[in-house]
Amino acid sequence: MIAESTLVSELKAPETREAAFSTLMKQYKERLYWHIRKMVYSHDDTDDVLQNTFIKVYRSIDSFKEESKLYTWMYRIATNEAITFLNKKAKRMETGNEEVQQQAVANLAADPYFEGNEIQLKLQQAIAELPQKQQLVFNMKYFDDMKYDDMSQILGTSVGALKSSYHIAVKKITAHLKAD
Amino acid sequence: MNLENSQNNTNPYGIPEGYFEGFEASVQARIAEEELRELVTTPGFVTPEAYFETLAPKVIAQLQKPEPKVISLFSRRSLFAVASVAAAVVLIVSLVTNSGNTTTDTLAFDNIDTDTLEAYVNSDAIAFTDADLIDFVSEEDLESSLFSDESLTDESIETYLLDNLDDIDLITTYEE
Repeated sequence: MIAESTLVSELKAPETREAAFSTLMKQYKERLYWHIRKMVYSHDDTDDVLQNTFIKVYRSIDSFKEESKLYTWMYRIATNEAITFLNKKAKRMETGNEEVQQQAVANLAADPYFEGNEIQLKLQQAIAELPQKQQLVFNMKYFDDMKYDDMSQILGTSVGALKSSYHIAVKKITAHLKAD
Repeated sequence: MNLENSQNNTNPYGIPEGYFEGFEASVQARIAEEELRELVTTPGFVTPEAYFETLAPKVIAQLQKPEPKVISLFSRRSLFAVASVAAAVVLIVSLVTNSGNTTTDTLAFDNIDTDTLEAYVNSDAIAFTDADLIDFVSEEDLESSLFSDESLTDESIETYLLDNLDDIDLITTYEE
């Protein structure tokens, strides 16, 4: 895997930009895809948001100051793009983000790209009932095992607050699954 | 050796602030997490076959499309007309408050750039009615600004409508 600092330099230099961008997509496409997918649920919506994320990364790379890791900067863009997508969808449906997500979860049973069992479906229902920040923290920690320091850079929240959010989310989800 | 005193007075180790306050909650959360992991460890989503191999060409194709341009609704001349009201107010206030001073600064429209005027107008510092806007924006401005040879894609129009329109009926009509 190419070093991050080298990749950033190559992305900023016009003569190496296109090759470096291909490398960037190769390295990060799957991680970013799964991060977005857990927020918007449907594959087609995830595909749209992921493409927008990479386009934004390409067009904004010159403004990347390297004060954070490239990886956390890209995650931040992906998170913002997914939230913007959910907001627009909610506006179009004249409803709130929570309802949009719950509707998406309700569609999972018939989704050809969801192969989860009953417990996995219940888990998604339980996650969708959490406030948005807790959903993000839970998904990033539980499924991706992301470090709290990295999450702090992506979400702009202190490590202590993230730990609390995660603990609360885990308890709520466990209670939800046990209740059924 | 008194172990207790030794620990209280010479313990060289520190702990993060509030560590013990949150300790029980952390342990309970770890137990809950382990219980959860026994039930489920993956979200259950899959992708279409070979999806990741087809992603890069799609992104490259999108990048090759030209970026939509932002077309200013107001010409410089219209902005000057609109801002003249505000400038007059500023001038009067300035004359009143500085009547005792011998300042040589002059206030002239030529010294104000278009961006400053546009920001001032957009900041809602002056209230306009639709009729005012019709007066200020001439047919000629509309012809030259909005319906020039710039082409707007359906996607750009849809994005603009979704971002800026609150009237859902209009959006629905557009989609139909």
